[in-house]
Amino acid sequence: MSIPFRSSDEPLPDNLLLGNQTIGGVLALQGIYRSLPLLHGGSGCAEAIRTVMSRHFREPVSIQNISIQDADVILGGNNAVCEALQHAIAGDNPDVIAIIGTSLTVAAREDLEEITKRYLDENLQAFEDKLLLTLSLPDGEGSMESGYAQVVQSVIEEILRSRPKALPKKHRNRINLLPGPHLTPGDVMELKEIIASFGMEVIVLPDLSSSLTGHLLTGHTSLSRGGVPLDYLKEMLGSGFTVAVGRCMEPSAKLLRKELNIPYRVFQGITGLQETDEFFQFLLELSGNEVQVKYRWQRQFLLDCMLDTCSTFRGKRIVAALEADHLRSLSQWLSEVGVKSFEPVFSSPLSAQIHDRRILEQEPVQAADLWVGSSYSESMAEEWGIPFIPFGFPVFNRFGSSFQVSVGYRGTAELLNYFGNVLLNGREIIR
Amino acid sequence: MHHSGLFVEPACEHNHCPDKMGCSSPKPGERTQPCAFQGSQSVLMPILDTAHLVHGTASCLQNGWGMLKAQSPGASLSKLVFSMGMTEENITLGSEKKLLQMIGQIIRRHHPPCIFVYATCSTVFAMENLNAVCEQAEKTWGIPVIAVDNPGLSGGPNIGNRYAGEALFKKVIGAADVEVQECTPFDINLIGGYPFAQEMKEIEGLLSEAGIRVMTRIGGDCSFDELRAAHLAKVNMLVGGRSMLNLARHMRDTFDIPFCEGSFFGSNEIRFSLRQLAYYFQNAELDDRLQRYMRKEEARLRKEISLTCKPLKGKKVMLFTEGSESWLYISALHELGLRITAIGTHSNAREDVSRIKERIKEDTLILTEIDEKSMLKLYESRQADLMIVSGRSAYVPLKEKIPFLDIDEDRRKTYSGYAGLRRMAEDLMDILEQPVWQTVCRRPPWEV
Repeated sequence: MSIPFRSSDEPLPDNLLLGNQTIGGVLALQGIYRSLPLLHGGSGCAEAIRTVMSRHFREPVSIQNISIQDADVILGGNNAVCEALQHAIAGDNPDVIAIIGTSLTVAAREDLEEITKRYLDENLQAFEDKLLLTLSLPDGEGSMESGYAQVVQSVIEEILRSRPKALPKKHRNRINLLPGPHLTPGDVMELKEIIASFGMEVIVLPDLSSSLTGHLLTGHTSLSRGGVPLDYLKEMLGSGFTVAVGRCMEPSAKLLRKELNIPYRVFQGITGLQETDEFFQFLLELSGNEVQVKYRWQRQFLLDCMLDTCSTFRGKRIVAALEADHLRSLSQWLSEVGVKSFEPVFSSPLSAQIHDRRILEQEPVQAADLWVGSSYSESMAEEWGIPFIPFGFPVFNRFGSSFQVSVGYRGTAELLNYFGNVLLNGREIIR
Repeated sequence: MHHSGLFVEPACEHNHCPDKMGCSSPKPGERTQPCAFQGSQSVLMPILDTAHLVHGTASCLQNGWGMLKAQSPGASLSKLVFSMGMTEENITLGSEKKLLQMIGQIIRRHHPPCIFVYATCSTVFAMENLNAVCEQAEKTWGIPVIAVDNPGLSGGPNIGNRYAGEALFKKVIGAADVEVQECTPFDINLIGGYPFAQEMKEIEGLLSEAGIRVMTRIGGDCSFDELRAAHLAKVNMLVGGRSMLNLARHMRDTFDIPFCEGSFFGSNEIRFSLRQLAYYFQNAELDDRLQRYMRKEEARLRKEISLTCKPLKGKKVMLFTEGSESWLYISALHELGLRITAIGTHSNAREDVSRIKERIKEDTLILTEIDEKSMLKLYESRQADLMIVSGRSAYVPLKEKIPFLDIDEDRRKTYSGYAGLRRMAEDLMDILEQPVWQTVCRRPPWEV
């Protein structure tokens, strides 16, 4: 057999730049109260996700695994799935259980849906008032975003399917907020406050702002410690409007419109002057209420920051290793402040998981003034000597990643100063 | 389908009891724990100049250096973990050709002395014969290409550690073409798990002061050449874990290198460990030197403890740690004057439990397989002052505002050696004195 390698321009993938679809799914579930993701994979799959998420958020993470073993591969993982379900219910008795299939499930050709359906039929009583989801989120396709979005969509599908015959009363004054995974818990909190300032009620799915932010709930539990409770979640069906932040959340908003005629609007990230203005405009019109003085002040601050920092951003080249919606949102904001270029260091979300190092060795990466990305890319930025800002997911060795706010006038101003400081000093400094 | 040869480790006491043979496998719905593949990686990735190729989907890389917290600073080839990035198509149609291509590219581009190729669960489903591909690659390119064939679903991290040890023994240690390094009469190897990478450096420093040279750190930062010459050592010492007993046993049987286990937490453990080493060397001069060294250091330490560690005296501590960590710190804590009121453990080997029993005083409660809720209840009823936790127990005291030391922190400090015990004492005193434990209990102004 001859040596099978071709010319030297074959990609040689190493390390990771971003999280994957499975992590996205697990993340979304943390934003639902008393929920439990059950991962169908080897024990290490869940452990890796738990570790990475705990290091980013500095919070315990709800996740268990159906640790499949050699024998399950041959005989089918039927028993393992049922055993894990039993264990979960006998333990902390979650309100929401999501059985998540991984690449292994796909490779083993296991029909998780069939197995859970059978289990559900036999144990109907145990699942009264519970939500049981079955999803397939193999890491070999999609991205963190798509996994997260799929969980949200399947939650909505499930509450639509099990809705009572009588339609819930419409609350014109209530908004469903569907924040994408590029929003931090701090961002979600900021949006909730802004919406509430217009005298409107808001239901957030998933609500990371009340789960991964570090409140102290005493008494140990292995389930998610915050997030939107299931009964409140069901009230979404009676809301007057849906706001999706990030394109990946649009299918869920669309679904609510299709089934219940709830109108929706998609924002990229509500970062930057223009989009924040649009968001306030939208809330003004929808609520018919005034903008609070606080936000008028914040807008002034932002304008001042933009002028303060404009010479620092001028002509700068920025590269990023972030998820698609995050890229879109930042790109929109950075074009407002006049950077010369803003480009991803990879060609598609999948190539971020298995990236092609050759791209990194070319323009514009080599000429970049700033690299924005998850901690996975920190060593690479270091290698090329490019100033680095840890952003997106996961971020290690930094406190407060989950409190970072980059939405609204205040968040945009903070972000502007943060990025501006790194560009000015050539390295990350304390905000 | 268990790798039965590895599953039964004659040097491990679990194989002499009929009720619990070998390493236990994780059960569905139980706490998560790393898989066998991760276990192997954690032993082999610290070989800094070698290349590592993962035959799996991209996300298996999630378990690479990013997850190893105790990583050494600086760039090294092993920090670039290469992945096959397997797709469903690769799994169904096979990926032998792609694998060979990739090995070739790594060699041409990075010129590593050796490549480790890890099987993952995907390898099992692709029904790929990694060994055959690696053999072919080895013939083609003339460097060792070592298949580490223990996919995640073959068990927990211990099996993985063992498998890595096996691979090192078969393919690396004692490779025939090694030039005999400059040896000293007192050369040893340290064998430990990944959480001990930093500790091993500390231990090496202590040993070199005492006149014993560490040739290589298996499981800690080392180079490929160091490992190939590891068979020239006179003694192997296992530190911080027994998962690579198999490697120590193989090296004893083949190269006549005796092995022992050591711990360097607290002067009693240090004394015991150094004496063990001295016993194997049977050298009067070394004995003298070690005696002098220990006497000097112990005297200094005792004085310091009596002067500065008074606040620790009689304080009640509770240990809620994992694996071997549950016994390692006991005598160090006693030395500092603390009382251990209870030890809660999970994933403990039989030997770990008997070591706990050897070291504790009669008022200590030992609870194996205890859950978080009961541990907290116990903390209250026993009126403890402080918790020492590791791994997944880290958030248990934090969420309850209980003073705690997390020995597994992001930037882990080492507590090995005499200097390590001083650091531990300082840390414990600082923790107890931190005003945060009081201030976080302040009532908010709206709750009178």
